[in-house]
Amino acid sequence: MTTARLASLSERALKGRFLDLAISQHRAVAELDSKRANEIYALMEQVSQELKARPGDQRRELIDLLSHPNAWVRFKAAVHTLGIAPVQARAVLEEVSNQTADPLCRAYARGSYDAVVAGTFPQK
Amino acid sequence: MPFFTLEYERADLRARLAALAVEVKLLRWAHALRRRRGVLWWKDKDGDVEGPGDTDDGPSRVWGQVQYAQSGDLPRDHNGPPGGPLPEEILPVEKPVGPGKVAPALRDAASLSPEIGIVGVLLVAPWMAAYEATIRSYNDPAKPLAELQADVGEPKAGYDDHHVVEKASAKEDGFSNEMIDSRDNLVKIPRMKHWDINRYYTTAQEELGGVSPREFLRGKTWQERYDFGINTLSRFGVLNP
Repeated sequence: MTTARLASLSERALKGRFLDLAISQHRAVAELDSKRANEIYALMEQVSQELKARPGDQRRELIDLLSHPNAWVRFKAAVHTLGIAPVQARAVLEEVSNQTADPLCRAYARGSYDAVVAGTFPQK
Repeated sequence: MPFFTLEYERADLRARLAALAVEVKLLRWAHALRRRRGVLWWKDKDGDVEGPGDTDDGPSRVWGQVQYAQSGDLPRDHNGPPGGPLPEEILPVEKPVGPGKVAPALRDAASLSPEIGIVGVLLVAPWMAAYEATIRSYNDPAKPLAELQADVGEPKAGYDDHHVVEKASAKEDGFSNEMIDSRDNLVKIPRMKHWDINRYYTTAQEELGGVSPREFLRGKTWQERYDFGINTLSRFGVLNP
């Protein structure tokens, strides 16, 4: 999806797009397809940037996804809302990296959480 | 063959079959129990969570449902009892075709095996017999470094030798084979964890500024790479620091 096409979508539609991408990325990682996971990574960045660029930083739309049943979706939502809801997002990262039963999800989320704790997570 | 040996073998076979029959009965009983508790739930294509009482056209299986059903990450707004799909709805009866399709099935099997046993897994998906050791090893608890280094070089079913400092990027950056393949840089880890970690090294990460660990480590010292490798083993539940 092009940036121009993203610009025409509502915040709600962008949130839906982010959710679909997160689930697809989880599948790509589970299937050991890092090429596809990286392509999806770039698309998620585009969606996040589009939301951020809108008046009032509309990444707040993604806060809903912090309570999504899929741990990978929560993890990705947390990473993309650290800049606007740091306390909530950090708590979700901690929860996913410590408690979720999916070992892949735990491992990936742990990398982000450790960086947040160490203060090395890049500002978004 | 002496008569008593033949009798012994027959008795042994009968005992094995009886044990298997009991296992199958227990499995069926467990399935039936879970059915009765009405633990099946799915998310439809609109993202709504459906329980067994929903009067829709039936469950619409969206990828990811199995993962959070069995992982205990149940929908927080779901009012039904906890649980998940049945083993035969999770595990593919036939070996999946296509790149990458086997690994998720084996992870599902590893996740289910503490509950239904490896026999239960193989009853549902006999093709997994070839991966039995790989499935078992995935559930290994994290171990101290010395223990992971102890069996390096010895063939062990379900395990692989793994380089703490990643081999490909270290070679590219000119580190010697002696350093890369030294005993200090090798650990014996569960095979599927090896797959997972290898792919992790080529997957972009937000905390690394959007690049993969392999790219991030380019130009870094041996010690920085080693520390990163040790942290990675810990994050993937292989190393008990």
